Amino acid sequence: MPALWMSGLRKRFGARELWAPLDLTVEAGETVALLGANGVGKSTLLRIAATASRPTAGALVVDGVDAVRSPDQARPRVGLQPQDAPLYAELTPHEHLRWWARLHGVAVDPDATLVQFGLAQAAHRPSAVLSRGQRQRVALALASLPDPPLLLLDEPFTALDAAGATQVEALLAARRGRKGTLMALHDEALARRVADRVVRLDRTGVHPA
Amino acid sequence: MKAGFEAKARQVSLAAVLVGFPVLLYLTWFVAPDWSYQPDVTAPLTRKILFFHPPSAWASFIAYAVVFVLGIAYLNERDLRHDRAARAAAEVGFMMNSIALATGTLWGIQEWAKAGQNALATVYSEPKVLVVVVLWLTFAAYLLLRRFVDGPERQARLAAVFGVLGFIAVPASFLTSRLLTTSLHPDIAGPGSNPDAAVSGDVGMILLVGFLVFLALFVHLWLQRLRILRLEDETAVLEAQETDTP
Amino acid sequence: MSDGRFRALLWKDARRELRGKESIAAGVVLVLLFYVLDLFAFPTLAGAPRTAAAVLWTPLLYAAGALAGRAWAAEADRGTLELLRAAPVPLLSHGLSRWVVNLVITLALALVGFVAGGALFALPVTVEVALPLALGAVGLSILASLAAALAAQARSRDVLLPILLVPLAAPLLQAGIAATLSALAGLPLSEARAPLLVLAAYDLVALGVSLVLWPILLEGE
Repeated sequence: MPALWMSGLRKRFGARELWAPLDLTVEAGETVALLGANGVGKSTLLRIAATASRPTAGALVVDGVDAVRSPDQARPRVGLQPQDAPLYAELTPHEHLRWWARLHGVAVDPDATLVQFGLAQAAHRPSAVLSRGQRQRVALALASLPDPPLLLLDEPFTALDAAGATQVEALLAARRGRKGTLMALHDEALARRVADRVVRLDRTGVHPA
Repeated sequence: MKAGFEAKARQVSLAAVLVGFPVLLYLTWFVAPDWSYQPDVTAPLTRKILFFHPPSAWASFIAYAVVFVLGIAYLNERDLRHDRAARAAAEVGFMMNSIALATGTLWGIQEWAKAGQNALATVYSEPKVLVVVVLWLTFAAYLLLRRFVDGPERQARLAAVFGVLGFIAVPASFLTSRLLTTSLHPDIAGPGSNPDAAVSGDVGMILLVGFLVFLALFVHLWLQRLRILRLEDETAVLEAQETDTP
Repeated sequence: MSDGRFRALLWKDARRELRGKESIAAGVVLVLLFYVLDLFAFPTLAGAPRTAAAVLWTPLLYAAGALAGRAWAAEADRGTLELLRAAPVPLLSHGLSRWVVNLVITLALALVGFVAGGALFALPVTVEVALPLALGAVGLSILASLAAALAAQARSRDVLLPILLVPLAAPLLQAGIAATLSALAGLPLSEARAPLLVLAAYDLVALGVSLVLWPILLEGE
């Protein structure tokens, strides 16, 4: 069963149709990198896969669940790291992780996860004072915390230092062969290094790159 | 709606307005009773506004029901055509509602004004006038909300949500007024209507004509507005295709 | 959804509210400001029940709107609506959780206003005065939460929110003020049965409608 299956998927904003109907499959255990020009709709495609945006038409199945008809059932099977790593200003990374673990109903030690993502120092500071890179790490930790069947990463390497990049690569390596991952990237060389398969999104759909 | 049917409806409603409005005016001035012999009627001539005030108010209620139904249809099918029709109905309904408010105010000032009282304050503290004001505010809020929201899909979704909420609030406001207050305003229809204000004979017939004329006017203006909005949207599609071609 | 997950949402929303303690303090000060302003205008409300009703209801309407508006504006500005859309729970539960927190604070602010009315204007501190305010606070918190989530997704949301809220709250205010007038006239609760039933019924209808509307309101484009 694929982690993600899109078929004939269309998205329209007002008069503008983003792509010709597109097909995309991410097998369980596969890591796919999505390239494409700015503004072509990579983030929108990931948000649609995460049920955060509604497709105009087409089929979307996440880990065997029809996500168009039952978004509430599909959502627990997906982890999304959104583009700007949004966090609650008043809450700390520790509190975010604890909250997220309780929502997923998983018994995860927030402290261990914080150490894994290099956030031990920042664990108890309000998110408002975190740097962009630190917020990116928290967003990655939240998305991957439940080890979801489908992980969606929107420019995961943005704002990260070398240590942070290594942590993302470790996360990808740990999922390879077990769970599906789809990530939007702009660096083609990096994409070829970290992904099993590289595809490109343009106005005509998704094509092998 | 099929284009042919819509064009036909546009023509028929226009014909109804063009024929109906002179008939309504004739009935108002030459057939309707002269109330001047009734001692309790303060302003007999102004009372003739009766044939324009309830019809425009009813037309605006119908317009709001159309906005509500089309909002639900949009949320179910996510078809922007429903939203476009809802927007057109709201704009015309707002106009009908404004007519009802203006005619009612003119009549109320003449009829209820007591010596030494601020006439407008008397009218606007009247609970049934408040209901028309609430509907007017709801229409205004609906149309303003649309102006403040970017993106057709978001605009359609939020407007439909507000349309549903308003559709609960306006009848609730109406029922609350009827249940809780005794007022100067005659209730010519519905629960708790005032027997003194009951209409009969010519008056009822002219009111019905007035209602049909305003209904036709609403339908015609709605379909015209809808046509303009559709042309605007089609232009936007063409422009988008133009900029997309390299 | 299991209770544990809903508790987690409540924990998050309550925690945010308590962290920003100043917002609750600001709500209390806001309500009291209205009363101080009223003190300047009306040295006494004896024999002026309609003015007294306005003194009791205006701050409640304003505070409920401001409170809900701030909460949802923060979600929209910080981009955390996107976090909610990615959370593994139905979208409805986010709206309900945020409403429960707003309800508690709105009720607390209604209590502040009720006590201030008694202390500053010698209005009766009775269950007859308190009940309509409490029922009104329930409905106002529901409608203000919905209107605030709407306005948060628009431009100029601070201007838009009262424009959206007041027509929706009109039945509550009509019935609430009728019940308050009955109470200020010294009549027992049984005399205000009709407006109290309207208040309770509108609260229930608003809650029912909110269950349908929250998932649509929190959808993303």
